[in-house]
Amino acid sequence: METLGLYFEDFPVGKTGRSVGKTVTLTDIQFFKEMSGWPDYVISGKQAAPEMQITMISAGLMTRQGFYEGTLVGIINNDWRYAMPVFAGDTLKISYVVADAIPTKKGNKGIIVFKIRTYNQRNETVAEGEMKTMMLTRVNKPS
Amino acid sequence: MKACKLLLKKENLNSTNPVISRYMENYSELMKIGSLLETKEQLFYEKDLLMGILWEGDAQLHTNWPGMEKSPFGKVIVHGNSVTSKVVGQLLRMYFAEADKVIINDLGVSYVGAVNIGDRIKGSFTIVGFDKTSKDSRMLLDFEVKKNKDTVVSKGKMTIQVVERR
Repeated sequence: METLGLYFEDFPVGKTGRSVGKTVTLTDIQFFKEMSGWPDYVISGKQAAPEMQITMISAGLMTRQGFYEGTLVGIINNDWRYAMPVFAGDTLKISYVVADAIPTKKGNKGIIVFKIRTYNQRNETVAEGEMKTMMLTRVNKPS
Repeated sequence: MKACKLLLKKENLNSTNPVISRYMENYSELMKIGSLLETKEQLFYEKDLLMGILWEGDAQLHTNWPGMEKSPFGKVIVHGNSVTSKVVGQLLRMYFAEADKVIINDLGVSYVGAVNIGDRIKGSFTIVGFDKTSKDSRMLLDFEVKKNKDTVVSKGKMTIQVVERR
């Protein structure tokens, strides 16, 4: 069966993209704290999203690109720097560039390194990250 | 390496807790380079898949049960970022409950093993340095997360800014 996802070879270095937006709600923040056990995070009297939630939302906006479907083996590394807080009502988007693409020795998989910028509705960078993902190569594509 | 044994046998983390109060008296001594901050073991349930499903949204590795039985993993795996979130969340609750807030400046993690439902996860954080050039002292930590006592599932590093109550 044909997959919706893209293969390793479909990610040349320099390939760019951007996502749709995701508005962070107070419910998002409260649910995340409830599920993760993260303590209250209040900045200037307002509930802020825990930094790991920003990472997960950013990863989710990457997922919504659709290119992982059926071809993602796993996310092997996440490296994020957080520039400013995210509050309920902020709308996040990501832009990404493929920084590197490294095939494995066997040739059936490869590592794609994405550089990601997460920004809010004012185009302010809230976080920057590097995600290393293991993707299938076209060797695995059903004929 | 000195282990900071913060014996939180109850979930009561407010400042009236005598255990916490004693801990805070020794806070400065415990928060030094080389100290090991260990979290409690956390059992991962099916409900722990929800965090990743809600915010990361990838389905195949985490919700396709028959599909994953045929994969090298053998079964559905928990999102790595959910594991990190729960371990770091517990670190903050256990060791920094008395701070006004803790800001995470950066966090990097490599996932080297899968976590499944039913696994018991524990984080070990080592204080490796302080950056006192910033307004609030920044603490540098290395960490390792193990499942079922001895299998490493992730390794990472983070910088946190502990803002004390004024």
